[in-house]
Amino acid sequence: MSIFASWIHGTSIKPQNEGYYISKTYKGYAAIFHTHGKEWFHFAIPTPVITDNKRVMVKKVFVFYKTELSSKIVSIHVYDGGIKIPDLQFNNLALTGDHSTNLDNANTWQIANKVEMKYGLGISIEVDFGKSSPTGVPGIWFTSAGADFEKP
Amino acid sequence: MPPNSIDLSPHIRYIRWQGGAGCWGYSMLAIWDIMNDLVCPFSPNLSLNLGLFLHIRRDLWEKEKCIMSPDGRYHIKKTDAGEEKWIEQSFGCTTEGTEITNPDLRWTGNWTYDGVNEACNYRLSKDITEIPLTVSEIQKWLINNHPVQIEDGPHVIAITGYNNSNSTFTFVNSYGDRYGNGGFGTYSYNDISKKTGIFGEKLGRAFIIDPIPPKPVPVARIRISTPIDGGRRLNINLWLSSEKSPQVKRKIWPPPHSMDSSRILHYTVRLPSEFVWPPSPENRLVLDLYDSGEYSETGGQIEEFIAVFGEHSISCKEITSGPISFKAREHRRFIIS
Repeated sequence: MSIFASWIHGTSIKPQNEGYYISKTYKGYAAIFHTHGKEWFHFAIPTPVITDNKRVMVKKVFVFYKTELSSKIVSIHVYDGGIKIPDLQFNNLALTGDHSTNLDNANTWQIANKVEMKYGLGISIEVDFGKSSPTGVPGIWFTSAGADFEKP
Repeated sequence: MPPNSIDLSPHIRYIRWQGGAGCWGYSMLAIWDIMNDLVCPFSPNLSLNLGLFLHIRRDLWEKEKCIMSPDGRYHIKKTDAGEEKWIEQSFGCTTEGTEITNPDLRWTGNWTYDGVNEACNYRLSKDITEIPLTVSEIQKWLINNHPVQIEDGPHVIAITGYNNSNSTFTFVNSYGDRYGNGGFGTYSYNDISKKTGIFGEKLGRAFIIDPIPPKPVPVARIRISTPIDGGRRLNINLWLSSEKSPQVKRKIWPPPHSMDSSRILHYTVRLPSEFVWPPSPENRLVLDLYDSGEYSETGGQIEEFIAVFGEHSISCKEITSGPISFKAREHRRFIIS
């Protein structure tokens, strides 16, 4: 059994909805969004689904982020192509703070029963930005995302 | 007990001037601006450019039954089920200051990527609704934050309030701010009951609209006034830009109207699309003002320049200590940082 990891930089993330109501900027160190209310964002993780004639299995997923003001991550949904991976659906979360540099419990999600990958790993993140205040507009930084895969 | 009076006029700051025609659209936008401001303060002023363009190019909408906008989005007038949808329902409405201004054209009708990209944030949830034209019915809708559009002979206006103390309804017109009282006029309750018009012999139908609440976008609100005696907001030319952006500065005022006699511009426009919120010393928002003196020599004063995104607002420090005057043929630059 061997493990390999695949990561992608935060600037690759895509907001689900485009519009001027999301202020967005892409820096060398992160993709940064400021807006109000709830929005979804999507990472496409490079996924070599078969290596050495064997299908890989996803073991853990990671999202590195930092929230500002009232923003919080409320959902993480993980897909294999167009199919939701049942054991990697997390809702009713309230993740805040700076989790952009080290692995911790707020940016790592592990699957108990590893799932064979077929089509490509996608990580979708729902952020509830809340409302702005006189001091600022809520925001989130995405610096990176990735996954650990196992090869039998 | 219903309130003795309702006044929604504080929610409309930009008094439009329609020029020759378009009262139906301009009155609807006045209503829509008010309703947007009630649920999402600092929403940008909506523009009639797209609607007027389609009025001229009705063939695009009627014959082809659709619009293909430059960004590839395809909007149909009639669904497969035969349902007819207004463009304001399916596509939406652009906002002021996002279209190319062409001084040779009365209505530019020019598509811009900026404009088509924002329109979906400003849509009606359903077709306009006709309501009975009675005093009580109009009051009922005003109490529920719905200004009412009224046909008055050949003209159309928007009722923005009522007052039982003097039995009047207040309306906002689209004849600029030198009409009536700062752009507003009144009907008596008797006028409404007897359907007696001001602009024509008889009042016609009454309508309300149901906008989908928009999301907040980064905007600039600007207030400039010119003297009562001879002042013209058309003298003022405004450009909004992000200081370090290589994009061409966006001219936000004036539109190609040559007869607008209004003296006050109180205007809310979306920030340049490349501007990343928030403004800062490294990311400055720039307003360039030039008084052309084309219509009068009065000059004027700028009283407000503020950048807002939701509830986060940053004012131009130079102006917060008081209005700043300018003369004809003078260029001034104001910064928010």
